[in-house]
Amino acid sequence: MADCHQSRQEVEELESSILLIGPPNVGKSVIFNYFTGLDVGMANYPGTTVEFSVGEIDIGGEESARSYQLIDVPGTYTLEATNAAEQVAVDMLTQRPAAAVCVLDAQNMESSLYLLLQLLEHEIPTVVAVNRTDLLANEGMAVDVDYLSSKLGLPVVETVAVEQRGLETVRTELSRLVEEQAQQRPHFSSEKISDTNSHSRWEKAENLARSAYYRVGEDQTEAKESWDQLLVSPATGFPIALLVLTLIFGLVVGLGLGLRRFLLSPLFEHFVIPLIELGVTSIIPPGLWRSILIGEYGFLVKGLEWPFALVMPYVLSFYLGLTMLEDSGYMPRLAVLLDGILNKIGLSGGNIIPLLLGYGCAIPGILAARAMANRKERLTIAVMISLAVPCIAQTGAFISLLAEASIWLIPLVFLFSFAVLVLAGIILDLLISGDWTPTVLEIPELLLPRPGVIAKKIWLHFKHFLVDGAVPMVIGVGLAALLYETGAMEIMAYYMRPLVDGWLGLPEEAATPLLLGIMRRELTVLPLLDMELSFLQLFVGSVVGLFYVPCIAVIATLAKEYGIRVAAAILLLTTTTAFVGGGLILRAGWLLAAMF
Amino acid sequence: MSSEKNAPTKSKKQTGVKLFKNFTSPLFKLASMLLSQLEYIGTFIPGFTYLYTNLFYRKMIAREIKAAGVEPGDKVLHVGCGSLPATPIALVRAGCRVIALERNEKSLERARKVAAWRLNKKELSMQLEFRHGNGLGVDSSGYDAVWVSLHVNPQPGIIQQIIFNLDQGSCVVYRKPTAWLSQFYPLVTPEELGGNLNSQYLTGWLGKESVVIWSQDFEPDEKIVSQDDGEEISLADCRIGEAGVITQIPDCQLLAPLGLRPGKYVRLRARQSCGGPLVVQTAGRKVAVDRDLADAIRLRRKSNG
Repeated sequence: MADCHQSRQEVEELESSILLIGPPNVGKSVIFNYFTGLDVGMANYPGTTVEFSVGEIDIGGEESARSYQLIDVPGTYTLEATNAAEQVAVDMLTQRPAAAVCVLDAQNMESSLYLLLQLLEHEIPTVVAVNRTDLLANEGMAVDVDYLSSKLGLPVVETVAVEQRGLETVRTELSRLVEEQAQQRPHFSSEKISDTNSHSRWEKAENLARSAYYRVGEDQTEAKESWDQLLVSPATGFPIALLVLTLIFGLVVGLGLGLRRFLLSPLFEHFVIPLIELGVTSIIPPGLWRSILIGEYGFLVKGLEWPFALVMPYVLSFYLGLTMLEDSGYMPRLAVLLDGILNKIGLSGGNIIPLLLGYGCAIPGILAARAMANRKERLTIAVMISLAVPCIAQTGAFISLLAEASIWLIPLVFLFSFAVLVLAGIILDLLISGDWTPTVLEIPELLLPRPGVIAKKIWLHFKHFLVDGAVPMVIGVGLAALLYETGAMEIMAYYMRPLVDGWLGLPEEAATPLLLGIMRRELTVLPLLDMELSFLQLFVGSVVGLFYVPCIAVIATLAKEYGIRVAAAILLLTTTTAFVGGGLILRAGWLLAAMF
Repeated sequence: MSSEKNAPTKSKKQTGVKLFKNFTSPLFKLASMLLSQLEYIGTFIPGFTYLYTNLFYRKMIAREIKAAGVEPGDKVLHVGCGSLPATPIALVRAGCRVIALERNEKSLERARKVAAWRLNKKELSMQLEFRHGNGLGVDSSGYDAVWVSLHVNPQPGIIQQIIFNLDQGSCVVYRKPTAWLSQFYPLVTPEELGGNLNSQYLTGWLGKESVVIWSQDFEPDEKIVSQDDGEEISLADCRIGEAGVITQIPDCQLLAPLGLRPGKYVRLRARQSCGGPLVVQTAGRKVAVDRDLADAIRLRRKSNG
C-alpha cells in the first residue's frame, strides 16, 4: 500500500488519534464525513474505503475542546489480518491510539460483536455505535443498547448515520471517554474480555446478540425479499441486469445529450462565446495573443466549450447513473450474476465494480481494485482499465465526435472495446501468474437511494471534475493554442507525419490530439471534431484514442500502486496497441472497401 | 444440569398412547377447545385471571423457571399462550424477554388486553411481544428457553421441531398430563424423542407435570438418525429454497463472519450459471459463495423448514 505512506507519516503520533472501526459497508465513512467535514467515498457495497483516510474531529466540552485525528480504518469483518485492509487495521491497533469508535451493524450484530470483542482485547477505550438501526426497524426489530452497554461496560449508542441520528451522542461519549482516559481511569474492566480463542468469542458474540435483539413491530421486508430473489436467480436476473444496464446507459447518454444539446451548447454558442469574442476583440489587437485566446484552439473558446459544454453533461449524467447503481446495492448482485462468466477470463464477479467505476474515471477504478483479493486480479483490472475502458470525459467526446457522423459508430466503438477487454482478460490470465481466490461476497440489502445522498455524491464528483478534469483540460487546450499559433505544432506534425498520415491514414493535424492526449484522455478525441474525417478515419481515430496513453494522472496512480516498471509497461502496452490496432483497422477497412 | 429420571412408569403407557392416538385426537381437540373457551370467557370476569393464575399456574411456573435456569435478560419463546397468558406474564416478571405465540387471533387479542392489565408499560414494550402464528414452523433458534403449552396441536410435532432447532445450552419446557388424563392426549416423552436427552420432570398437581429438556448433550448427528428428519449433504447439492444447519465448513477466514459457521441455519437462494457462485441466505444477510467452497460446506437438511 504505497499510497498510505504519506498518511502513515501523518499518523505517526497515534496517541492523539481516534480509530473508526467496523465491518465493511456499515457506514463508517458516513460517520467519518460527519465528524471531519471531509468527503470520503461511500456506497452500498463492501470495501468502499480501500485506503484509510485521516481527518480532524473536535471533541470535549467548551472549556476542554480538543481536536483529535480521526482515522477511517478500512472495513474488516475480523481482526485476523487475512487481507491488506485488515492488516492495516491491526497495525494501527497495536500503536495504541487514544480511543476507538467501533461501528456495529444493527442487522448483523453477531459478527459485529465478534469484531468488537476482538477490538476490546487490544484494551483501547471504545465507544460503540450501533448503526443502521433504521434498516433493522424495517425488519420489526431493535437492539437493546442499554443491555449491551451494561454487559460490555462500554458506552453504546444507537445511530442512523445517513440521517445523522445519534452521532452527537457518539461525540459526547467520546469526549467523556478521552477525558477519563486523561485522568488515568481505565474505562472498562479488561478482565471481562479475557478469552482469546475464536470459538468462545463467537459463542459470546452470539449470546450477546441474541439477548440484545428484541421485536418492536412487523417485518416489512418480505416484499423486498421476493424482488431480490428475482434479481439473484440467473433465469430472471440476467434479463433484469440487461434491462437495468440498458436503462442506465440510456439515462447516461440521453440525459447527457439532452443537457448538452438543449442547455449547454446553445448557452455557449449564443451567449458565452460571442460575449468572450466580443470582449477579447475589443481589448486585444489582432495578432498572436488574440489567436491564442480565441483562434483555432482558442484558449477561451475551446478551453471552455470542451470541458463545460461537451464533457460536463456526461459527467453529471454518468454519476447520476453510477450513484443509483452504487447506493441501491445492485452492483454486488450484478457481480454475483457475472461471476461465472468472468471466471472464464480470469476475473471474478467482484471485478465488475472497479471496471464500472473506470467508466467514470480510471483512477477510482484502479484504486477500487485494491479491494480485490489477489495481485493478479488487481493488476488485470488496472491493465484493462488503462487500455480499453474510456473514462466518461472520453465517452462524452466520442459521442460528440461520432454521433454527428453516424449513429452506428458509437456502438461499434464500444463493442470493439468490449472485445478487446475480453481478449486482454484472456491473455492476461495466461501471462500473469497468481493464486485463485474463491469468491465469497456479501450481498448488501437492496435500498432505495436517498435523493439527498445522490445529489451530494453528484456534487462531489462534479467538484472533482472541475478540479481534476476541467483544469488540466483548459491547460491542455491553452498549450495547444500556444503550439498551434507559434507554429511549433506544424513542425511536430511534420515529424509525426509518417505515423499519423502514413500508418494511421489521418490528416496531419491529428498529431495534435496525440500530443494532447497524454494530458487528458478526451483530448485525443476532441480535436478530431473539426477535421471532417471520413467514416473509416473516425473509427481509426476513435480506436487510437481509446487505447492510447491513459492520462498523466492515471500513469502516476499506476506508478504509485504497482511501481514505476509496471506503469511503464502499461504505458508501452497501451500506446503500442493503439498504433498497431489503428493501423491494422485502417488496412482492414481498405480491404473491405476493395472487396465490395 | 441435573437429569433426574423419575418417570419409570412411562414405557408401558407409551404403547397404549400410540394405539389411542388416532382415536383420542378428536377428544383432545374438544378438550383443548373447551379449555381455551373457558379461559377466554374467564378473562371477561373480574378477578378470574388473578385467581386462575394463582390457582393453576403460579407455583408451576416458578418451579419451571427455577428448573430451566432462565435469568433476567434471557430470551424466551412461549408457544400457545392462549387468551390468558399466565406463563408469559410470569416470565416477564422474572425479567425475561418473551415472545408469546398464539394461532387464534381472537385469543391473541384477549391476551394483549390481559397482559396490559397485569404488566406495566415498560415491561409491555420492552419485554413482551405477542405474535400471531402456528407452533409448527416456528424457528426456536435464538432463544434461551422455549415454553410449550399443553394444548398446542400437535404437541409432539411441535416439541420435536423445537428441540431440533434449539440452540446449544437452551432448553424446552412443556407440560403434559399425568395419570388418567394422559390417555386422552398425544404424549411426547423425552425417551420417545430419542438421543441422550438431558431432561427433568417436575410434578405438579391436578394432573399436570412439566418436563424440561436441555439441548446440551444433544449431538446433531444423533438427532437425524433418531428422528429421520434430515440428512447431511453438501450445500452445493441443495435445491433452491432448501435449508439446513451447517455442520462443517472449509478453511476460509471469510465464511465465519458472514454467518457461515457450524450450527448456523442457512437457506440456498440461487445458483448462478456458468459455474458461478451460490447465493446463500444466512441469519442477517445474503452471501455469494464460490461453488467449490459451497461443495465443502456440509449441512444437515431440514425436511420441514
